[in-house]
Amino acid sequence: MLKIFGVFEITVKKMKEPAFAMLLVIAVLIGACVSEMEQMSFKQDSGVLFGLISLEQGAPLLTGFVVILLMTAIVAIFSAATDIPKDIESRVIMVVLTKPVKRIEYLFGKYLGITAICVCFFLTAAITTTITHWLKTSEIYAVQTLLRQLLLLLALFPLVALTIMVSTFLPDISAMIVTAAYVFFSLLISAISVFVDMLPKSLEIVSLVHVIAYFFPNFFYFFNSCKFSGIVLVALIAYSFSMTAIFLLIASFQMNRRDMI
Amino acid sequence: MNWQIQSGHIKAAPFILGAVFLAYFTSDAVLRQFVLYRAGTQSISLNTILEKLPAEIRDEVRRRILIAELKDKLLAASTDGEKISASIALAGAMSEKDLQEKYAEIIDKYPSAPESAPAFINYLMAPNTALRTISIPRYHQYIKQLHDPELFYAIDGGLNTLKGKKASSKELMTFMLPLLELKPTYREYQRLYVELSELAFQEGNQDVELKARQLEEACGKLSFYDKVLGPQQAKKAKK
Repeated sequence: MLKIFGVFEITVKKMKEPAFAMLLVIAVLIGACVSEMEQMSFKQDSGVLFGLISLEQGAPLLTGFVVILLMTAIVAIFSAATDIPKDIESRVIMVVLTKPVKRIEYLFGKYLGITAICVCFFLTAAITTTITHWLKTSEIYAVQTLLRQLLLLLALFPLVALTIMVSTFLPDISAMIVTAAYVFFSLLISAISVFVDMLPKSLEIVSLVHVIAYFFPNFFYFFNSCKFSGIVLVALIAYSFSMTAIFLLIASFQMNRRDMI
Repeated sequence: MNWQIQSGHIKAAPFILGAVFLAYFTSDAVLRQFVLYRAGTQSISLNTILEKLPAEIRDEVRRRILIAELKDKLLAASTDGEKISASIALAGAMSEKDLQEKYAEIIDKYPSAPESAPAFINYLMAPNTALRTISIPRYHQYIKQLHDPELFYAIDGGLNTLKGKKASSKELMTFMLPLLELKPTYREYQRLYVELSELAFQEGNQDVELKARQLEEACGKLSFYDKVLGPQQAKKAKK
C-alpha cells in the first residue's frame, strides 16, 4: 500500500508545476462561466436521449456541471494517456521498477494520482460554480442538487482507468484517439442497447446488441436524474468501480506482459 | 486463500475477476431496468422513436417488431385458445401463405376449439386446390360445439365467406339451418333470421320461413350482446 502511495505521490507532484496551476486557473474560469447554466432538459420527443437521461424527477443535473465534467474528461484523457507512455519513453519507469515496486503497484499508484488530479480539477471548477452562483443570485444550491452533481465523478473513475488501460497498449497520441473513439462508440452503443431493450425479445438483434453492449461502458447511467437512493445508488457505485476494476485488471495484465525498454 | 502478489502475478486473480464481473453484470442489469422503468413511467413509446426513422424503412421495421411481439406472445401463451389466437396473428403478420398453412394446421390440431373458427371460416367450401376444404355439414359439426359469442361470429363469418364465394341461395339456406335449432340469446341473431327467412322465401320453403320469422320476432325482444356483456365486465372489475 505504501508503495502505491509512493507512486501516487510522484504523480500528484505535478500539481506543483506551473502547468497545473494554469489548469486550475482554467478550471476556475470554466466554473465561473458555467455557473448560470440551467438544468439539463430534453423534450419528450428527443426519443432515446430522453429515455436514457429521463430528467423529469429527482435532483436535477445542471448543464454547467456536465460541461465541467466534459472538461475534466478531456484533462483525464490527456493526462492518463500520456503519463505511462512518457514514463516508459523517458525510462523513469525503469528507475521506479528497480525499486521494490511491482508493476501492478506502479499502475494503481498512477491511476490514483491521475484520478486525484482530475477530481481536483472537477472540484475546483465545481466550487467556483457554486460560489459564483451564490454571488450572482444570493442562492445556494440545495445539498441534494450538489450531491447529484458530485455523483458525476463516478463517470470519471472508469474513464481514467480506461485511458490508462489503452495507454499500456499504445503510445500517447494513439491512446488519446483510441480512448476518445471508444467513448464515442460507448455512447452510441449504449443508446442503441437501451432502444433495443424496448423491442420485443424475439428479435434476433436484441441478444446480439446486448452482447456487444457489454464491451462498452454505458456512460448514460451516470446522467440519469432521479432520487438516487437504495439499490440504484449502490448499483451506480458498483457499476463505476467494477468497470474501473476491469480496465485496471486488463491494464495490469498488459503491464506485466509488456517490455518496458 | 493466498492473496499475495508473486512475480507480478495475482494468485487470487480468478476470484477477483469473478467478483468484478459479477458486480459489473449485476449493476448493469439493475441500472438498465431502472432506465427502462423510468422510460416506461414517462410514456416513451417505441412509436415516438420509430417515427424518427426514414419512411422507407419504418414500415418494415414496424412489421418486424410486430412479428417479434407476436412471437413473444405465442411463447407466453399457456392455453390452447391463446396459442391458436397468437399463432394465427403471427402467421397473418408474416405472409398470406403462412396464414393459409397455419389455418390448415389448426383445423387438424384443434378441430373443436372455439378459437379455430377463423380457420374453419377460411376453408369453408374452399376449392379442391386449397390446403383444406370444409364442407357445410363439417362446418355444422364444428359449430355444434360452440357457445355465444363464438357461435354467432362463426355463423356470421361463415355466411359472409359463402356470400363471397357466390354460393347459391340453397347452399346459403342449408348453411343457416342450424339457426332453427337454436334458442337465440342476443338481438344480433335477428339479422341472421331475417336473412334465413328471405332465403327460405326464395327457395319456397315455407316451414323454414315461418320458423325463421318466429325466431326473428323473438330476437327483437332480446338485448344486444354488448349490453349484457358490459354490466358483466363491470361486475368482474368490481370483484
